[in-house]
Amino acid sequence: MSSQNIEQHLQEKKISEIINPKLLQVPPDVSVKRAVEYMQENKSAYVIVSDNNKALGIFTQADAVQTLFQSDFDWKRPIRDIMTKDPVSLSPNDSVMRAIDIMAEHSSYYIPLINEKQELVGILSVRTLIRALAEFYPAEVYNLPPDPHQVMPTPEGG
Amino acid sequence: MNIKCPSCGFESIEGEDRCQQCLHSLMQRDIPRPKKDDNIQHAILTAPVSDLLTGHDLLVCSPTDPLNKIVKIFKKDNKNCVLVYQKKKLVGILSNRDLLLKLAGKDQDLSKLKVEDIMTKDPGCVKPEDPIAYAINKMALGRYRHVPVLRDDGTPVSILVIKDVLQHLSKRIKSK
Repeated sequence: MSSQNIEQHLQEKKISEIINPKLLQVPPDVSVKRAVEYMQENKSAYVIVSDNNKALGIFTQADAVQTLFQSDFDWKRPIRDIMTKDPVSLSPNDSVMRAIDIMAEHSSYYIPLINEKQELVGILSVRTLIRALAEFYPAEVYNLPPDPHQVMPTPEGG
Repeated sequence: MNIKCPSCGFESIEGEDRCQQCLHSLMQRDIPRPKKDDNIQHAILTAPVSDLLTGHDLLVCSPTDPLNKIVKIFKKDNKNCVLVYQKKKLVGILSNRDLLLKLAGKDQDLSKLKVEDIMTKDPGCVKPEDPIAYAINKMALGRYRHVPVLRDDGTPVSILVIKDVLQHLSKRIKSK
């Protein structure tokens, strides 16, 4: 990959090429408790609420503190009560560039990917995106010295 | 992780001095310089982290603070991340991700739990004058969304949120 046309590259690169296959989804009538346990088991801070491959809503860490940490919260309520309905979505064929714009604009950290048949096919998380960006700039981002301001405390450096 | 050769792209094992395929030197003498015609590269290598800081996100607590206090503040001020300081030193960071993944639904008494029980210890941090590429590096390798920005003496300046980086990039690309 030549490094001069990164912008062009970002415009051509499709989201489907950078996402990982992991996708957490639950049906809408599952209890909040079960959904949260599912997220904890998978160490992912989102879950998509879906029915027959259609994305109905999403629940992420951004909503968690406001809704879950109430003393009288009823954990048996279905997840559909607290999910964010009709989240912003993208197509897996959209460019990585568009994903950056959409995420920056909507400040959402997880974007469901919906194909042309309106089926849920994946999720793009902000971490995946930032990792992809870092990969476009291997020299600039990864080959940096661990600490640019490092001063050795002893002459030996040890 | 392998090191990618800047000349031929071959991936040599970490720690090699020269590329195993083309013998290009892998020893880097200086921080990489951006190319003239690359907008994004400019945006991440020349702009310092301090360009992105608002200072609004800064919140500091002690490791022995009870969690119910933190949750209350998060809820009231719509915050999602707090730096944990002990004796003027950064010891950890606590975000809403930690609360959700380690605490939610476990029926524990929040007033008895302390911040240090669930915080992420020794997070990577950056200085206000570091280029944004540094912060992206920390975020990608450490899988963080929030990177503390500290002065040389360890006093906190702000927290850099991944969203700010994306907004910065998105703006730079559009302004071309």
